[in-house]
Parts: sequence; C-alpha cells; structure tokens
Amino acid sequence: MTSKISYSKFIKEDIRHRGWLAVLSAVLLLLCVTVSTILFVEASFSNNTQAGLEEQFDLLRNVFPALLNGSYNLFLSVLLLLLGALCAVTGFAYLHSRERTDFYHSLPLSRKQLFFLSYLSGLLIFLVPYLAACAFTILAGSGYGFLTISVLGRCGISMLGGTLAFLLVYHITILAMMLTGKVVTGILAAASLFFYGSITGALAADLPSFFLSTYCTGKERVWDHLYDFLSPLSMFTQILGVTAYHEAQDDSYIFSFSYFLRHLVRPSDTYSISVILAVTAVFLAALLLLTLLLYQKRPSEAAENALAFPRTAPYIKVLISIPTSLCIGVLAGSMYGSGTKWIILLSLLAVVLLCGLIEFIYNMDVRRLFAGKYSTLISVLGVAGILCVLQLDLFGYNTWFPEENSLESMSLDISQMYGYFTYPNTAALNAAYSPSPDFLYGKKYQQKDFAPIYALAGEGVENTRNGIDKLVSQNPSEDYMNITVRYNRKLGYSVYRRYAVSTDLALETLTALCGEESYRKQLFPIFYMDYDAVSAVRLTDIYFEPEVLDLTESERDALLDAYKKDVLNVDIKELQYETPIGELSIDIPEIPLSASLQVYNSKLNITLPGFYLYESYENSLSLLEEYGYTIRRKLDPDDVEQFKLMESYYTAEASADDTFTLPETNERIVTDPDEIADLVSRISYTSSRILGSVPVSGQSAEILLKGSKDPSYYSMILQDE
Amino acid sequence: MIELKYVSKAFQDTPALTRITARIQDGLIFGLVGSNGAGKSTLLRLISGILKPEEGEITLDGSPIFEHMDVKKHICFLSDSATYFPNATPESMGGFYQIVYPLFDRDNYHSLLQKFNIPPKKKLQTFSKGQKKQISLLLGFSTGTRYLLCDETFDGLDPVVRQAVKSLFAAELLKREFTPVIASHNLRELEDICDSIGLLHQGSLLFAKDLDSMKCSLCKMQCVIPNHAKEEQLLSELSVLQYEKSGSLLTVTARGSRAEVLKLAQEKEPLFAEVLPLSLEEIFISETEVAGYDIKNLIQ
Repeated sequence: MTSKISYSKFIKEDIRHRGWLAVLSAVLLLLCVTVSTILFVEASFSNNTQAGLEEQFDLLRNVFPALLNGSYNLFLSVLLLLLGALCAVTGFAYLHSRERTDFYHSLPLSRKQLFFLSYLSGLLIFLVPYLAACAFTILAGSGYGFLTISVLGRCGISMLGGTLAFLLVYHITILAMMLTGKVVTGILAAASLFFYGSITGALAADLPSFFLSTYCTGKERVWDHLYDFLSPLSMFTQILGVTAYHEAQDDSYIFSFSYFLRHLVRPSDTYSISVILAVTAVFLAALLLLTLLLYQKRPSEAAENALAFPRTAPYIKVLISIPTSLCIGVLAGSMYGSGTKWIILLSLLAVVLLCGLIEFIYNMDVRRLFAGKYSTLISVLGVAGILCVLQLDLFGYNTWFPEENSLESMSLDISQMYGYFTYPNTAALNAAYSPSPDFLYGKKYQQKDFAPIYALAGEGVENTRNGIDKLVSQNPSEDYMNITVRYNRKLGYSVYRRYAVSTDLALETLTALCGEESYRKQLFPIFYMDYDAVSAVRLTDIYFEPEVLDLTESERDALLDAYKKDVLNVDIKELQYETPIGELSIDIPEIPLSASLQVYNSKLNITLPGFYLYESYENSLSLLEEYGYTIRRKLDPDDVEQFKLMESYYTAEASADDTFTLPETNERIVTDPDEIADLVSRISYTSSRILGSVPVSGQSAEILLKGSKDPSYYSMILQDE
Repeated sequence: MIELKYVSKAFQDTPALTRITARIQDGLIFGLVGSNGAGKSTLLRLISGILKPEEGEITLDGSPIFEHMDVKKHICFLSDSATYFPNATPESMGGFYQIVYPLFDRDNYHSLLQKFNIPPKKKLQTFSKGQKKQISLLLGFSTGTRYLLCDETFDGLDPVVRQAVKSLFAAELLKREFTPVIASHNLRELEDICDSIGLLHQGSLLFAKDLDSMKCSLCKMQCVIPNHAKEEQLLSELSVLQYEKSGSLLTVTARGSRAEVLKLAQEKEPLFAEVLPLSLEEIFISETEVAGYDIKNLIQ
C-alpha cells in the first residue's frame, strides 16, 4: 500500500507547509541574482563611450557567469549559505520536537522515504527559483548583446557551482540536524561543522609559529590537500570560484570574494574544475549517505535533547573545546604582545569557559556547568599538553639538524633579497611574464652541492640553541637575518626550517652559491627580461631625476647585455657593502590584474626599478658614457633648495616593552648653505643592500632641489658622522 | 493481533518499560491504564513504530512493526497533543492524511466534521484544545486503519463529545475490522468502553485481562450477621481480598462469582446480605493490593 503513496503530492504538500520559505527564497534569489546583475550591467554601460563599450563587453563576458553563483556577488554568496541552512532546518526541524517526531514517525512511511521527501522538498524550494532567476538573468543579459555561446556554457557551469555550494551547506546543516535534538544546538552544530575544518587547519598550520622560532610548513603536503577538500568552508569558496571562472579569458578576476575568503583561511594552490567537481560530488554523496545512516539510527526520543546520540557528548565537547580555545588563546593572546604567556593563559581560561558553555548547551542548567568532569579534564589536559609540547619544544623541533649524509639536496631562501630585486612577474602581478625564482620550492633551485647551505643551517641551529633567534626577533639587528632552509632527505621527503643567522655567513653562503653562473642567472632579474617587451630604459642617479634613455633598440640591447656581464662578474659582497651610485629602471607593458585597472589603465607601462649600478659595473658605465649619460656621484650643494632632516628614535620606555610601537620623529628644516654642503657630503644614493636595507630608524633627509616646479622629496639615509 | 514479547525500553539510563509481554486481541477495545509516568505513552509509541524497543519484539500478525511499512499502514497513532501543520485547516489536514493513508475516507471525514459541527476551512490554530483533539480523532477514524492507538484521547473533551466519540468507537467496531487501543490514567473513562484492560505500573505490566471476566471473578458484598462466630466462619470460607466492618455492617470484597459468595453468606443466617457492583477502580485496588503494590501510590 505504501507504493500507492504519491510522493509528488507529499512533496507538494511539504513545500506548501513551508510556503513562507518558498516565497522568501524566490524573492531573495530574484533580487540577488536577476535584479543585482541587471543593475551591475546597467552601471557598467552608463557614461560609456563607444570605445569603452567593447572593453565593457569583455569585462562582462568574464564576470557575468560569476554573478550567477555568488563568486562576484557577496549577497548571493551569503544567500546561498542562508538558504542552504534554512531549507535544511525547516525540513528536518520536526526531529527536534517530540510531538512532531511522533507525528511523522507514526506515518506509514519509512525513515528513508521521509528523509528523501523532506530532502527533495528543500532542494526544490531553492533550485526552482534559482534556475528561474538565472534564466531571467541570462535572458536579460542576452538583450545587452555581450553574451556568446561560450559565455552561456560558462553560465551553466557557474549555476552548477552555485547549486553544489548550496548542496554543501544543505547537507552539512541536515547532518547537524541529525546529530542534535534542539534547533539551537542544530544551528550551532551546523556552524561548527562548516568552520571546524578551517579552524583546525589554520590552527595546525599557524599555532606552532607562535612557539617554535624555526617553524616552517613548506607546501604541497598531503594533509594540505586533505584540508582543502575536507573543510566545507574551503570547498564552498573553491566551488564558487572555480566554476565561475572556468575558461574565462582573463582569470585575473579570480581574486574575487570567494577566493579572498579561501585565501584568508589558508592560502593554497588552486585546483582544476574537474578535480573540484569530482571531490565535491564524492563529498556530497558521502555526507548524504552518512546523514541517511544517522537518520535510520537516530532514536525518536532524541527530540528536545541537545544531542541525538548522547554518548557522543563528551567526544564532541573535547573535539570542539580544544581547537576553539587554542584559537581564542592565539587571537586574544597575540593582541597582548608577542610572547606566548598570554596565549597559554587565555587558552587555558578559554577551555574551562568553553567546557562550561558546552555543558550548559547540553543541559540548559547552570547548576550543571561543570558536569562531565572527565571530558572537561581531558579538554584542559589536551590544551595544556599541546601548549606544553610547543612551549618546551619537547620533540626538539627547533634544534633538529639532520646528518649531512642523510640529505639529497638543500635549498636556501633569503627573504631579504626580495626587497633588493624586482622581478617582472611580481611587479606586474601577472603570470604572462617569466616566473620569479622560487628558491625554496623550485626544483631547479635545489642544490646538490649544499655544503655552504648546510653550514649556514648549522649556525642557525646553534643560534636557536643559544636563544639568539629570540633576541634577533625582539631586537632586529643588521648583524643577523632570517633565512629559510629546505632539507631534501634521501628518504624522499622535505623538511623546512627558518633560522636566524649572521648576515656575514649568509653573505658568504650566497657568494659561494653565486660561484655558479647558473645560480646568478636565476638570481638577477635582468636575466628574466624579454628584450622585445622592453619599451624604455631609465637612468636615475643621486639627483633622483629619472631620465628615459634616448637609445636605439640595438643600443638598448647592448646596454642590457653589458649590465648582464657586470652582474655575472660582480663580487656579491660588493652588493652588500658598497652603495649603488645609480640605477637603471626598465619599462614593460602592464597587463592589468583587476577589472577596474583594465577599464582605466589598460594602456599603461610598468617600470621595474632596482637594476642598481656600482662603481665596478664597468661595462654598463662605459656604455652609458658612450651614449652620453654620465652618472653624478655627488649632489652639488648649490642645487639644493632645502633639506628636511629627520631623526627617528624609540623612547626608553617603548624599547623596554616588546609590544609594537612607532618611533618618535624629530624634523628640522635646513636652509643654511654651509650646513647643506656638510649634509650633502654625507648622503648616499640608497639604503638598499642585497641582504636588507640599512635600518629605517636613524637620520634621514628629504631634499627639495632648486628649480623644481613642484617640491620633490626623496628619502635618503645619512652616513654615520 | 498485536503481540508484545519481553519488550523493554529505556531512555538513556532511565528504564521506561521492563519486559512487557501482552496481546491485544483484534476487534476489542483495549484500555491501557496506569499512573502518570507508568509508561503508557511509551508503550503506544513502541506499538506504533515510533520508538524501537531495546529488547524484545512487537509484532502485528507475526510481523515486526518498526520500520515495516506494510505493517505500519495498519496502525494510526493519535498523540496526546494533536500535531498540525502551520496554517492548516481541518480540510487541508484531511488532504494530507489522504496522501499518506490511501484508505482514508474523505467523505466520512467530511461527514464527521459536519456532525461535530467543525468548520472545515477554519484555521486549526483558532480552535480550542478540545476541538483540536476532536479533529485528531476524526482524522484517526477516517484513516481506515485496523488499529487506532489513542493516547489520553478523552482529555479535554466535554462529556457530550466524549459520549459521541464512544459511540463512534462502537459504530466503527460494528462496521469493520477495528481495534482501538486507548491509554488513560482515568479509570472511570475506560470502564464503560473497554473490553480488556492492561495495567501498567512503573514500567511493568501488572496484568492484561478481559474486563468482564475480571468483574465476574470478583464481587463485593455487604451483610449483617448477628452471630459473631458465623461471621468469622464466613470470612474464613471466602477468598477475601479486602473487608471492612462498620458497626454490625460487614463489607467484603472477595474472589468468586456473585452467586457463590451470596450463597455462603445466606448459609450464615444474615439479617441482611446483598452483592454490590464493583467499579474498575475497586477491581484495580484489590488486584494491585494482592500484587503487593501500595495502592495509594498507584492510582491517581
């Protein structure tokens, strides 16, 4: 007889009982998809010339599919979350009421049937208005004339992404409803399930960095990928982003809301659409099966209890309280200073309070705040244990140093160098240019002959043992710097560490590595330049008046070749101890990153600075002389109108404290010619050095040159008196 | 026939029912009585397949009920608090029951609504508690199921409606294969409607018997016997469950048929002797006292 039950009629009835939600869903989706997209398109076309129209068409062709799934529409993203949760809560809220559970479970329907009937009703409440809203939007879009067949196809994929994102929230919330017996705890559980993976993932990646000075995670680890696909929040944003920009001509729009969210949680590589869709499908199917299984096992008497399976209560308490209290400890503790004592104190306080809060949610009775003593004790011990391991470095993480013969290769990354060198793709923020060197992770940068790096790492370990790393982090000094080392073990895995090492030894190591011409070619940005893309070369000297060199193409190429010869021959130590006398800057076309840039600055060039010139760069300097460009080594005091002398210093009180403070600054305007002459004799071109600049605190000056129409100020570091 | 074999159910660590064994005969009205918290609702929820027993089995014609749709379709459960959808009307609820119970008799339902003077298109949230209960009963009657499990059905019904509902039970019993199971803590309500009774106390079923046979096997007699020795002899000859002497008037509740007890009394040359009707409450008091239960805590 059950076969005679009309499922379609049942679903229709169920939707009718949730009529308010169906209306809400339809109205909000129409507003957030159709109306907002039309408003966006209208705004794009307003006040546009015919020339700008084509650019707008390109922009809309890229962005339009993303407007259909929330990837480029914050309100729609939030709506997907809201509707997913609401459809699940309203569909299965009867499980949280004894009377309604009795009513539904007494009907001649199996739990499986009941589940799928409620499930399908909820899905239809979202899907029908969503597809209708998307269809209206596409129809409206086609009226503007920018839609193509390819964009329509991408719209379909984007809508699939929106539906999958909804299903993810829907399944998670249904699972939460199955696990709980009260609507309030159900909603809390849904939020916990949604964010749990992200919180624990971020915590696992970042918590050790507060305690272990050498902590470095590296990338491309298996568990990172697991995290990417097991954290619902991460998956939600990935689905929206990947399906919205699939086959977009310009994927630079990928820096949208969804990717911002995802990268905020934890930066990671992006995955292809097929991987994302396959993993999402598996994840959704697994969630559905688990939910169905739980529904069949769920006792009806669980209604109106906090949890449907009371035996899980202590486990859930421990699983929630430990990471959450550590998170609270880190967030709140790091606000009080850079030390770990506040993190420890606040984490321990948070775990006790959280356990009490969870017990209150379980029992709704303040007298039972400290019920479940064993689970509270385990939670407190868990937090204390984790903090203890990290604080005391019980596993010897910081001082770990492998045997040299256990290593296959090593690589070295000196982050300070990135302030000295500017690579085309990082300056233009575009993948169209050759990628900048990835000294840590790039395969070709792994050094088989790693003795210098090993020795440097050895000093780093020793400095860590002696606490020098902590001193350096508290009081940054020119004498020490941070490096990252990668140990590639013969066993087939890599280990990463950050060390504080002496600048001198780092320079020695870099010099040794630069003994290989290939390493120099990887290091110096000039070798990344595509001569054909160079539109201009500028020269700047101590006068800080960048001048575009008037050169023929062959002269320009010859100058760049000469510069290459110079950097291949230069003693690396000179780049640290000598001061540049000037620099070349190279113009390359800018390929913009964001939509707004494309609209307003699409024809601009970008200037790459930092091709410094030293006295020893004979090839470059002589060629510049030959072309009629002489570098001025000194500033003529007669050319200076005014000196603004500035001195920055930390107060004694501030320096005693390890909290972040801004230095005090004294300013003095100098116009006296004698004093100007004295000051001019002591300034240098730049503070930039290969292994970091001269510290920012100290004397500096801003100079206003005579004859300048507008004041031109340049910051310079004064040499020691 | 519904059969329960050693059925136990506990809510977390609190036992609700312990090893219940009983049979509910088809075609008779089964009353389930017991004090508050005795386990009546739990037993009905187990029988209707809402709850799953931890031990034992509950079968309908030999087939288990829980999650067996072909069996559950024969049972309709009416909870003590009627459940309706938001903004529902008696008519729309009838529509829903028609989808779920294919044997639902919509014409009969409408006719019953009319008889009970219930407007079919009025929103249920505007009805009184008693009216909602009436509608719940009418929906239950119209489902056409063989078993109708009613939890505290008569609570909130006025005497006229209560009588009308009792008539409906009788009519349905005559009309088709129908077995109502009615749980209540009010013995007087069940006395004139039930054919058999099960008594639950603290999660255990003290007994489940046919009401008539219970009444026939017990009787209450009042007599005045001037001879004290003969009075003592009568008490020793009877299987006395309870007796009370007020002046010269002796009131005895004893096992045995009305004729047997009266005959024994007449033999003792009484000045006066008559057999009085026994109420269900008195039967339970007697039986439970025999079973060793403190009657003061048993019946409320």
